[in-house]
Amino acid sequence: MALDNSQHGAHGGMDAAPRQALSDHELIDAAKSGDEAAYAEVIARYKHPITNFLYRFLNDYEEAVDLAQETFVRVYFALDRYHTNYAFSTYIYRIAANLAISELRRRKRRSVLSLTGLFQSEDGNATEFQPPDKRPLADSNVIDAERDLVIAKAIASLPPKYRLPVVLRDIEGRSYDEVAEILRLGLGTTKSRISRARAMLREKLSSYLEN
Amino acid sequence: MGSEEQEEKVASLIGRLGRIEAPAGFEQRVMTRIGELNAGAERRPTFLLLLKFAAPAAALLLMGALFVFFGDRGVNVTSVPPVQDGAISVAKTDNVQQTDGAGSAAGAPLTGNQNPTSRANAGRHSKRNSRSRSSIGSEDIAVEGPGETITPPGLDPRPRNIDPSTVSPNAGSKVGDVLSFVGINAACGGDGCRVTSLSKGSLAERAKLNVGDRIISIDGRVLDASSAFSSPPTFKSIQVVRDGSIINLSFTSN
Repeated sequence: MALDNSQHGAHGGMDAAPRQALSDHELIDAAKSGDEAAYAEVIARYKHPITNFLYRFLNDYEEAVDLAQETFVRVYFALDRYHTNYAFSTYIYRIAANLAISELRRRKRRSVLSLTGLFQSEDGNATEFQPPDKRPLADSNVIDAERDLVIAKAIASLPPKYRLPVVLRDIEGRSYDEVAEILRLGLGTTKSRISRARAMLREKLSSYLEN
Repeated sequence: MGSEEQEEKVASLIGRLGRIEAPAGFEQRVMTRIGELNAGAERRPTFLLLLKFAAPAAALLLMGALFVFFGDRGVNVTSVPPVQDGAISVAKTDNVQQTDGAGSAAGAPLTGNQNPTSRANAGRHSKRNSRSRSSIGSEDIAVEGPGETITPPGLDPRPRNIDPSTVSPNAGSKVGDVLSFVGINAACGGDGCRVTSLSKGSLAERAKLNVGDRIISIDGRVLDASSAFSSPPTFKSIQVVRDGSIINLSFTSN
């Protein structure tokens, strides 16, 4: 989603249309001064990208939606600490990524379900992956559900440190610089991890790539 | 196919994944959660204040109560009265003439729990400050000195809080060490410690203790070969048997 950086006037008492025209930073400023509708506009802008990002990372729709909501709640209560030096998208993706990583750690501790063997990690050890959520989604554009399912499982089988950057780059369409900033990594490390993740996916999805 | 080209193909493949959308009513649910948390935050101060102050206050009160309750349980060694050992017994005082100003019949034998020192002390309040005291069959000798408690080697003179139940009755300095501290060399047996020699110029010599005297108690504690002192004796009351009579000596001046 392209950020709207256009500059507009006063925030208070504005209609829905002018709010949509405001930049992220202007909406955040309005939300800081108590304009809940401005924050609702922020949510409307980012709810789908954040939900999609979390779903592709966790491969669990319910969990993704819950964490997306939690992301917006945390952002709201941390508005005062948010500085406009950074793009808001970077900020919100970073919070979402941190929540997702925490969720993965929780899952690992719980070890509710552990399926291994289908995919291997880079060092040859079996890596855990979460079974895909097979419930029908609100995504009407899925052309080949079976292919998407296999790709989703392949992504979900990647170690988190490779999964996060490749999802942000190749699914969310974030630039390398932005991914590096979100994950607080160096640019070289980010590119290297993305490249490594693609190489792993190439092996897992070779049948789709040959066709 | 080059590596970069293959990477591009992978990127393209996973980039074609369908976009997942948030469910309807997402914004409302988020705003509801925010509202609930805000309401909770408004209620929180009372609860937080309670946690912030009541819990530490309760902990302090508990610690204070424990300190008061258990603080008095410790026994200050210096405040423990001398052991009144009834074993001073008739056997040791068979030939002793007792003169008791408090009204005891002269020559009456001591009963098991009576300490001859305390009985003798009862009749000499008016002579407490005299340097040398004597009576029929009983003699008290005081040595002038700094008036401080004499501490035998190996015993810490500082007051300590100890649990009496944890102290072994025979723990501490042996009687021989205690006696040698005040210049007495003695051979101890079941009936006390017989003085074999005295160090020149020692407190014992100045107190007119003689070679051949048999020390039967110190500070009311009956001596035998196995006696040991867990706390420093004051030497305010030393009983010796000399020529069949019990003599009370004191190594300190009052």
